[in-house]
Amino acid sequence: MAEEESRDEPIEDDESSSNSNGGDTAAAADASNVGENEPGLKERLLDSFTSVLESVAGPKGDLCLRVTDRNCVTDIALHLRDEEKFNLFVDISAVDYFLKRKPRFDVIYNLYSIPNKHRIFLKIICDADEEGIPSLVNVYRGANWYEREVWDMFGISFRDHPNLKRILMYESFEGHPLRKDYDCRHRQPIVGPKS
Amino acid sequence: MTIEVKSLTTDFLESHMVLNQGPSHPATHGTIRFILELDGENIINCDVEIGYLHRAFEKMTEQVTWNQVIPYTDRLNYCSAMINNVGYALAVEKLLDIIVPERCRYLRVIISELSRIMDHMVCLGALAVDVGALTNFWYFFQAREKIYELLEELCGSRLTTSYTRVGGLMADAPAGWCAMAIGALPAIASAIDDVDGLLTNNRIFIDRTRGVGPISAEDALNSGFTGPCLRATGVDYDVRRASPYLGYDEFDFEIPTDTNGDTYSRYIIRIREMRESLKITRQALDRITEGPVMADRPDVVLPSKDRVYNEMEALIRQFKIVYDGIQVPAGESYTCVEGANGELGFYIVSDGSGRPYRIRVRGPCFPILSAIPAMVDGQMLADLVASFSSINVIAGELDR
Repeated sequence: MAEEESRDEPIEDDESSSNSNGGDTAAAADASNVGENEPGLKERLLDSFTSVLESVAGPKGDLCLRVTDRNCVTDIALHLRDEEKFNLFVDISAVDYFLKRKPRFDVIYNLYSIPNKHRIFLKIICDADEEGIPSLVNVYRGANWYEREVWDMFGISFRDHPNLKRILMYESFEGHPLRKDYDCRHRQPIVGPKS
Repeated sequence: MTIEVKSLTTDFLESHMVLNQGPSHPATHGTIRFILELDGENIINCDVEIGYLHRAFEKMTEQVTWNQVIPYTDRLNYCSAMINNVGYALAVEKLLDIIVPERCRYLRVIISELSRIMDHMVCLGALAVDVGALTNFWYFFQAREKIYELLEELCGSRLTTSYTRVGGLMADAPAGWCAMAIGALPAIASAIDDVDGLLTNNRIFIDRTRGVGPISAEDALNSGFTGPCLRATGVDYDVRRASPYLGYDEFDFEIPTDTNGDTYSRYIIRIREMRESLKITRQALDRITEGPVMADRPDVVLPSKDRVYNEMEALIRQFKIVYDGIQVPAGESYTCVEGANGELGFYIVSDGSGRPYRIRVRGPCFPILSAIPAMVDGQMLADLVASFSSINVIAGELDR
């Protein structure tokens, strides 16, 4: 744990620097795995959602925007799906920055536009609170299991999800294993079929 | 506890039956549990329960050094372990700004494509068995054995290969390996032809798979389908073409698509894809030249053994790389490769230390399986078995 507390810098970086954009595009040209960045997409999105979107450091070479008001995430996703043709739903995951930052979690959405060959990441920075993040199930069906997984692994809840229960772990499992404060050597009782 | 006894004569035709299939069942390859509500033989409701093969991949990767993650990646999709190895190595190399040497690049392409063929062979062989045709399975497994022999020559093991390293490969291919690979290709091609001849125009097979487990292109995209299952609906998305890695854009190959989105389409896509993979393999084997397989990066790559034994500096470097791990600069990266079942993505977060801060694996099976209840709604119980085989869920990758 002490080791983790000392590694403070990279996270500070994430929050304060409003994305060194020049560096990012240069990296995009080099990296073998990056599609062509669609010109103007980022500016268009920042214009449409002025108060709730801001650029943030994300995966190297990819476009990443932070959703500052989590209640707007469904509207943004709808806009991306219908107006910007982000038709392929790829992934939702989370990262825990326990003891490094508050709020501790990054929830990361990964969407891809097949017509434009362009990928976008959306980030929500939040804590695991009662309120939860609005579910995207009504925008992208694929969000269903992914949101369950994030709930299972990190304990971040999703509002209006039709069936928010554990997916990889079993019902009586206690805690959320991918949190940094869950010790990987911690063992829980073996469960079997109910007799 | 009281047990309610129902008379057999009263309305048993109207009541629905709940059937549990799995988690350990011959038709649920891997450990996946279906809870089905049946009206006669028709599926009214389907619930999927997964997680029986959860090994905490993502948690374990946070405890080890960057190179020690590679054996864990073998166990994701164990039918095509090489593709996982390659995908993970590429993801870490992106953060380190490493570009691997040409020979390594071609070898990675060859092993990826051979693995894709193997994976499709397992899927189609098992699909044919599940609908009642055993012969194809043996035809494919004979050819698959040839590929396993090739992989065994490369890295000494067949299933859990761990062949890539960050910055290159575990070892160069042994002398004569490329000739051996070229020699093995005709047998693989003829196995594909044999099965193609047996199944593609087979009345029974078509009746059993046409219209079974269909999904529309829009629903497939919305659910997060990638790979052969998405291309079976008519969308030509392939990571190798959309955002080429390992120089895939220099090879001449097609992305087969079909429009029906059903089990038969998924079958035909996989047959065609195996032929395209053979094409790529041939081209790569033609173009491969001699040269190093590890990048010239002393901070990442272990020094050669004779230098370790004879030079102090090399010994220290070996020690540092093994004990502290590779120092990957802080940052995040997302890299995806075209796995046998679709987009295999690695989302990596490094905090600048020798161990990963977080590795997220985006496997292709997970979203595809989540759409199964919609695909089999109203269909027969036996159709679930065929649909499930044709999407080729690999539990190791699904549950991580």
